[in-house]
Amino acid sequence: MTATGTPMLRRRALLAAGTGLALAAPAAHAQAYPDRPLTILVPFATGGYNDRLARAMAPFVQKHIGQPVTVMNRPGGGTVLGNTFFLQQPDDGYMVMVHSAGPYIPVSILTRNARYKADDFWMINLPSRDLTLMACATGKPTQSVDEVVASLKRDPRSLSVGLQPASADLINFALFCQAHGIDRSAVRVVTYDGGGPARNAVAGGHVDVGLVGGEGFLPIKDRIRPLLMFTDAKDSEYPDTPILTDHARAAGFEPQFVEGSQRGFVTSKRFVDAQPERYRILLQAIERATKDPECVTTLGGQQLATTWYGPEASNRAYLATAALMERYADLLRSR
Amino acid sequence: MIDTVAFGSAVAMLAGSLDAWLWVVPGLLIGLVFGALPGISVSMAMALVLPATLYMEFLPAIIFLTSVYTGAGFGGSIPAVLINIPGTSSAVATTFDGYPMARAGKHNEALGAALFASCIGVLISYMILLVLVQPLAEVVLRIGPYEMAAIGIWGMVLLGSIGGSSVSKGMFAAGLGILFGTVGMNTAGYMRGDMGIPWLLDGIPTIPAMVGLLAASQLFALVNAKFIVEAEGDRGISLRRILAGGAMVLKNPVTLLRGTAIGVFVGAVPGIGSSIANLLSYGETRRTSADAETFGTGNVKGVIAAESANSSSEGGSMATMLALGIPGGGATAILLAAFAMHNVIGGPRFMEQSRDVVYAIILSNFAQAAVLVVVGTIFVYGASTIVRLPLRYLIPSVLVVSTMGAFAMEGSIAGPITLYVFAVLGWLLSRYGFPVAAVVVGLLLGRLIETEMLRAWQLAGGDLWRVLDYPWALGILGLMVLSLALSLRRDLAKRRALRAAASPG
Amino acid sequence: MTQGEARRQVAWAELGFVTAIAAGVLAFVVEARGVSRDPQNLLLLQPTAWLVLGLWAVLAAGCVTRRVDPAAPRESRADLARVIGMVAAFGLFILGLEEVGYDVAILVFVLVGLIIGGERHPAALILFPPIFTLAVIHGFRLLIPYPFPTSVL
Repeated sequence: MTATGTPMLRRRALLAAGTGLALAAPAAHAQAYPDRPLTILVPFATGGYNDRLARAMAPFVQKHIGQPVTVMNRPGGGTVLGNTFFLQQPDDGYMVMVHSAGPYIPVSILTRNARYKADDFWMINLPSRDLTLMACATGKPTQSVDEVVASLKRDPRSLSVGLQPASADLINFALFCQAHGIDRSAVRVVTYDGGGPARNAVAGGHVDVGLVGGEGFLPIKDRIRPLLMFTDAKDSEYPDTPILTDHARAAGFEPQFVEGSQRGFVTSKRFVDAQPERYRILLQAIERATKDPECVTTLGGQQLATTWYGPEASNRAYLATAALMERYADLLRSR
Repeated sequence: MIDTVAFGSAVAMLAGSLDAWLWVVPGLLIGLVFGALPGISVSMAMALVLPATLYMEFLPAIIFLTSVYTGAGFGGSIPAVLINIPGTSSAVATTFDGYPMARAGKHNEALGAALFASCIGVLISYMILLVLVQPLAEVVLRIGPYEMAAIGIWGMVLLGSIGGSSVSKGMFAAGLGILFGTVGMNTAGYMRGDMGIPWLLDGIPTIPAMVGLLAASQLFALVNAKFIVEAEGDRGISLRRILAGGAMVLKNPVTLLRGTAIGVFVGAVPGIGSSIANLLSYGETRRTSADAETFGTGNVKGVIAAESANSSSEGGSMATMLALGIPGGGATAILLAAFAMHNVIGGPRFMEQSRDVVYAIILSNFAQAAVLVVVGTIFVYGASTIVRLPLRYLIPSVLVVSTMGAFAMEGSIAGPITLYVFAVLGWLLSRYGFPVAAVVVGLLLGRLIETEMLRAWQLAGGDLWRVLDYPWALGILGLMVLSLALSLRRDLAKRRALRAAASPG
Repeated sequence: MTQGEARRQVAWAELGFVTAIAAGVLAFVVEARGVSRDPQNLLLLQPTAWLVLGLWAVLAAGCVTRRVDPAAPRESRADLARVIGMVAAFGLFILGLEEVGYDVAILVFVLVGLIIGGERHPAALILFPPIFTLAVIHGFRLLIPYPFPTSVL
């Protein structure tokens, strides 16, 4: 049965190999690493932000590291499967992850009994930062976040709220309720296993209000009414949406929130310690690829982030999220 | 509702870019091969060809990818008919009558019927899409937890006790299937039944479990047989009989249209639609047929119902993707990724600004459906040689390919282990007269029903009377009760008539 | 045909199978209740489990009071042995995949499968397994992105 498909596939494989070799040529000055293709591991299914980022970045990393780069998806268990698999690989630098490291890694440790620790992972660069957005469908009567607060204060059962269990969004909602003195356990919280289903539920009006990462809402921006952004600075994509710091000041409480997804290139701490020279080469290639003007335009056109924060700032942001998650672990677990 | 100016420019666009058409046949073939291999899913096939489309223009790239999509949609039905392996979860209902037909030597007719039902299903669903893309997307988006739970329960009631030697065995098997569907972490975050195994957190891997239950167990039972088709004279492969199977589709227009309608609306619901649409269509066809008792023993209407529903899901999920930018499943997620790679963002704005491109995509799918009739017939002709292979070769070969397919799902040994456990379970179940298909239906629908019921419960805040706020869900449940009452009355009348006929003798 | 010819016989094998499954279901529901008794955990699971356990009682009673027709055809021991041989061979194959490599496991399993199926022609036994193994390994290397361990190929 395979016979009919192979000529086409083989041609494609040759094509891919050909481009790989052609690109490998300029960087061929003798060095031991890397001498074979690299793999980008994405612990999510195809089609999501991380997958798109990995696939868009792959040709540019390939160009700057001099070896073909392929993308492999290993979804499941809220990234536990991908993370565990990654840590089982040899520390040779031939596999790197593109991951929503914060909050997925710490959350998987806190809620899914994962056996690794947050600092087993090392951030190379986390260009994409997603923020929790509170929104409702355009057809809903709710016009502003103040109406949401008033309604929930009057009767916590008056609105249904859609969100993902064990997520930054849930923590933000819990903190929001705490600050306003709303009894969260009485609110009708509807749980969704993934940002996509949660957004569909908001856009379709299945829930009155939803809290999900704002970036994923962009394609269906016209169908939702953004109510509140959990951040301390105005977002360029949602310039007119109120932000938490202003909202908190007006309501007279201390603004507290956690960042949504922090996505980008991730490797293991073990590799960085064991192979400093290889790590330097990998880091350099990813940095050059990220700053490559062609990469910046290409990814920009696909609404993918290419900001270079570097390992220091990225690890700091990631570990801060991990610490916050741990602090609010009870909020994640208690229902 | 058709924008004629845009329509005209779409036609011009398609006529002008002849190279786009070159990709239809290879795309369909790749889709057919991948779809026919158990375990290799549509989205995996599309992910594999995705890098190649980077070097193409936008329109050829999308036509290529949608051709793979269309081809794979039908490809899954080939192993479903020939060796009882549903290539994808949306081909489960195809096995119920397709495989019995093949064993009776009617593999030509079964595959022909499946092919024509698929092609016509795709065609009709895209026609609906052409006229109603926006309203269709709106309807689909509004189907919420209450409605979905009602649809799932309906499917379960219709199919819960298919086959098996007694009602209690049927219900036992269905209940067991539902329990399998609840293993792992549920949508509210509770983990149970995972036995500490990380990959069970997402639940039992559906495709390997299904292939194990339906196919591998069947292969064990065939160890002492010589060929899939017992009678030597029936093992022929005949174009005439494939086409005769196609003609059967045209003779059952009601089944076809019902399947298509269910496929377009239920199949389009993001995430879960297509695997339930084929079951629902099959169940409804069986319930309304006068010859309901012949379903499961090789009734061609079962094949038509399943295939028209699963192929028309494609058009439905394209609607939500094009009009809303929401991917309904893996395949449309990859299409959106391909859009993004060409700097096109799907969604409402794309619909407004590039209506001609949308029309071109839809029109090219008409062509794909037509080409699939020819390519599919040739492919089916070749694939049917399986029935001529002696089982002593076929059994180990198919078991190996299924194992590799189970591995390919996640790239870990989890798939093969699941396959084996469920193969042994399926073999034992069928040995003692339990309907294996009911376990599969339970497994597929159990997770869906739990998820949606749970959300409905959460929306209601634990207050059951809130269901009164959801007229559509009530309507579906009302229809279900009504139709069940009607068929119960019919059954009773039939039994009375039988008794009356038997007593004087 | 009188009633006396069909004699009562407990269907031990079936009874054991149904009971084993019921025990698994009971263990599952006990474990799930241990996780949480919140309806959000047990909404569908618990009622279904009780239903299945209730049906177990019905089925078990059926197994005990079964009447068997001695005239019904019975499968021969040799036939059953072949089926069990195939089930066991497939199990060893799955276990062996990661141990001895996918290539060796496939080769051996196909060979054993052919022998169980009754193929005795030496040429077929020597040629088919290696050719099939080659085709599967190379075919799937092309098709799937994941690496799988092999010993020779």
